[in-house]
Amino acid sequence: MKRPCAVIGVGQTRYAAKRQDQSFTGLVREAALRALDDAGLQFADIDAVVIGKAPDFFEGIMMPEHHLASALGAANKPMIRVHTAGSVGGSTALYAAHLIAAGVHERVLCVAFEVQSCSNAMWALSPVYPFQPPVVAGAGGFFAPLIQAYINRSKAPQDVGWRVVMKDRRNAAKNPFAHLQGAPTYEQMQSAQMLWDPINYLETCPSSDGACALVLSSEKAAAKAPSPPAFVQAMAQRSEPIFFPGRDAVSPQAGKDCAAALYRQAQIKDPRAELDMAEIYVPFSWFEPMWLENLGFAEVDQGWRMVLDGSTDFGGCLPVNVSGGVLSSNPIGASGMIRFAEAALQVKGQAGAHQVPKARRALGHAYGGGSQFFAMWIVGDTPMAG
Amino acid sequence: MRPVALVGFSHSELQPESPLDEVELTQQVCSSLRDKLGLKQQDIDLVVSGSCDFLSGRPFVFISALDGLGAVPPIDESHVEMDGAFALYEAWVRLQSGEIDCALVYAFGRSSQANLNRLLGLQSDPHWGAPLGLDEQAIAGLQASAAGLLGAGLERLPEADGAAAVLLAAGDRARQLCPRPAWIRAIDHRIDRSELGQRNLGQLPALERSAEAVSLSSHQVEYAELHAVFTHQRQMLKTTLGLGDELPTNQGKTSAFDAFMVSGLMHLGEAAEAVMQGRVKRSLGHASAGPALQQNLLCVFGDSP
Amino acid sequence: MGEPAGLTQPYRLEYVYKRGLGPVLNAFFNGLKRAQLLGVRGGENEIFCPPSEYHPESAESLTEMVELTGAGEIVHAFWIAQPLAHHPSKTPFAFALIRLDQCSSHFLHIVDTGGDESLACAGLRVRPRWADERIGSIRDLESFVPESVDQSCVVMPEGDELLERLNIPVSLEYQVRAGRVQSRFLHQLSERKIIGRRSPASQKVLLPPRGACPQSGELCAAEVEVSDSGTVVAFTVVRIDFPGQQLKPPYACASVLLDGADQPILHLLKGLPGSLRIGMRVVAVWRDEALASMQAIDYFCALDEADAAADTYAEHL
Repeated sequence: MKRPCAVIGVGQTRYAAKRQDQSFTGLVREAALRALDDAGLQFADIDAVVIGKAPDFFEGIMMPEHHLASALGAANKPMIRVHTAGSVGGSTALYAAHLIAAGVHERVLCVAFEVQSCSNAMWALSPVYPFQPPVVAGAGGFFAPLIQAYINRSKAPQDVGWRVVMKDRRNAAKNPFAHLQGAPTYEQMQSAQMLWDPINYLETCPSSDGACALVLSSEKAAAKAPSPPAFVQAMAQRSEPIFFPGRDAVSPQAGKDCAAALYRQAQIKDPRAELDMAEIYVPFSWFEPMWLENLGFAEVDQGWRMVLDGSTDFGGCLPVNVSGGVLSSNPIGASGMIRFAEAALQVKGQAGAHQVPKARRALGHAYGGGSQFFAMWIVGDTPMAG
Repeated sequence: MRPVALVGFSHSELQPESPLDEVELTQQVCSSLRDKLGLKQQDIDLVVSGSCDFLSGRPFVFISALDGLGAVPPIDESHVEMDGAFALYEAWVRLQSGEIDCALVYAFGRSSQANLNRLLGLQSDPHWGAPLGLDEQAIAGLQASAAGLLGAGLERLPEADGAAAVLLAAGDRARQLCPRPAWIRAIDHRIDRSELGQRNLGQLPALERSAEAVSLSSHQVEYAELHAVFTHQRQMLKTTLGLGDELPTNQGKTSAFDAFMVSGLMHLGEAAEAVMQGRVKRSLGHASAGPALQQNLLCVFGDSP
Repeated sequence: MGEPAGLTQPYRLEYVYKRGLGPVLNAFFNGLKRAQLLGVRGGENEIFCPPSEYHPESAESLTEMVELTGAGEIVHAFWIAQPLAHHPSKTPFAFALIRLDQCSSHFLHIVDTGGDESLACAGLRVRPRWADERIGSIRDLESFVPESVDQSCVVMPEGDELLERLNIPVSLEYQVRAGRVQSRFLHQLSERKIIGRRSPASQKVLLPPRGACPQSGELCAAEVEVSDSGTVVAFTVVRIDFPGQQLKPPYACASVLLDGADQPILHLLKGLPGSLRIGMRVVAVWRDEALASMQAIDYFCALDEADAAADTYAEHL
């Protein structure tokens, strides 16, 4: 990085199935105003705004950033709209961080959102497109076969996915912004309705309305922030095609390469030992063990053991998704940024009831498309030396 | 700022209905650009693209375009739901960090599949724009009226399908790849207020600020490529930017068409080509987006960094 | 090799979107229901209508609603001589920016001058014509009309019947066109031939063939016919209902690696869990009619064969 970039403001809305109390503009502003407030800044202090969200079909507004410019104080300023599928929240934060790291701006506001109650995610993600068989059945329809393949190859016991859900939902109870409150019991997990074999209803992320915002700044501007900054120590993104012969879609090379680039920048040799917590994009329960392997926290086919032995629990050696994760709140376009934001909150020491004690370095992870777009960052309580 | 240049530009044929799909368009412009520069995909440090889901009527249309690139092994990549000109801006930002040396930027659009006039109405206020049946023609008509340029009516460029790609490179890498790189001497983009009724549609204040930010008047540009779909918009741009009628403008072959999502990038490519081919020392490239020229990008190219 | 014409199919994207309102827009749309226009105060001498929840320049939150008379004058107008299907009027009208009395912003709406284009220009005094039935939509205000036109409307009683959300129908028509490679592949399917293409870089047979090899980005010219039977390498059973769904759940979708291909295709599988498994051998069941579509294959069904050996499909899991 040419120069350090700091997270000086974090803002989140309460996530819910329907935020009827707000217009979609108001919802986005709710997150932005909280992030500015956290940073002790006004809209006028911001140099540029970066917006991220998933497909425009969710809200039926083409390129809604044009409508949001005034609402986010961007009139007469640069405004950018990022769209990298599910990873977009992460990519949006990375774009903003690059604007700071490159020395283009001093303070950048980035916001990611989704108002899923405007339509229906299953509808929006399952178009009956000409020339194709009607096999598209939402994100679950795509990811279920990958999960089946993972279970086959890893020989993991059936209840691994259930335990991920029980853990994340227990964590969500400590997060006032989380959409789903209340943890299911083992018996409830066992008897939940199957949606796409082997994914049951409780193992599926909810559809949420919500927004997340970050204020990023230079080190100099961060010195004036009212709360301790989180410094971006590493950032990377990688993509690969969705289908090609011999592709490992369960543990994609793009994810491995992205993590490797990240650890190189952060000078991390043993991620499991050197990171204090991780916020990982887990929209379906089984993606926790799958990503633990892809990210190098566990050996191939062994990630599920970390779930069963409690390693990823709140008090475990690598707490994962102490915010409750995507399984508890999923405003799609924002979900990636929430991972990045929660990682920053941890090292800022502002995570409240779900604060991991002495968290100094944390991973934020997002992925999208057919497990093919990856965006990640590592934040710490100090900038990288050199 | 680190010196960064546009060193190559490639575009597809612009046709009312291209027989090529997203993959084929991307494949065509990216491979021809790489071939021209003697590069393989693995030699490229970053890829940024621009496209629009609503134009094809299905989510994540950029996923299939990735097939045209050859993204194995995986690539450092990002996508903006914006004209390719704004993807170029992201690539320029990344090159400023000093960690990468070259970046491929591409964009594609197949307007022929959609009703663009109707679609562009969905960019206006979501509470009253769509229910009022607001469309591109209506917005353009109101702006022409506000600018006192409605005259005999609206004149619009024909729609076209197409794709374009450019390569940006920094410092010595640029000099290796191109005998006469088009150096980006200044680049800036800004957006105007959102509500049409809260803007003075006859003026483009955000563009004025961009012109100041790039010190446009100090560059003595000899050639300009302006991105305007309607004739009155081009006039508004010239007035706002203080460009005289004697300044050669939009002589590039892509200027005769409106290739939605791509034209902005093409105008930058054409402006850079005027420098790369030695026709001028300084040129201006411009791209616009959003209802009534809400968003504008200016890029000044020069024959030296 | 003669190139068949590119294939085109109509496609419609249609949904009635629901929008939450928040306090400012809620007041505005409930005002419309009562045949009343409300603005929001921006600053000492600023009133915006339609109201925004924020100041357009400073982005500060705005909350103070102001009742307007509804009267105003045209600032800019654009005449629509031949209304299109999506327009709000079947007869000629103008889209106009109207400065409502007291307001500092312009109100974008339509003006009905009874077909007289010469009237619809800057300076014309106008007032709203309200729809008889009002639901809380911008269309509750049917159009503006010259102030001189006598107007009356049914004013609904004031009440607390709050609108919760706006319904915004969006319907877009498309003509989806297959590209060169895809068109040819689909034509071949209509002749019950499944023809992939060999990547010059990897020598793998890609299916469905794409405009380029996703690994190398190269064009793939060499065609290779593959079998219509193959091996299931992954599957799921869809049990969830959703809007726009074409099939009644439960139904199975599978990745099928056809014999001779190096890449599985996604299609429907007939049969239910218990009998479904990775490695099972399946064959295409073709529709009677010749379709240039992946739907030329109705679905895949089980073959009476032993399961494929795991090493034959291991790299496709």
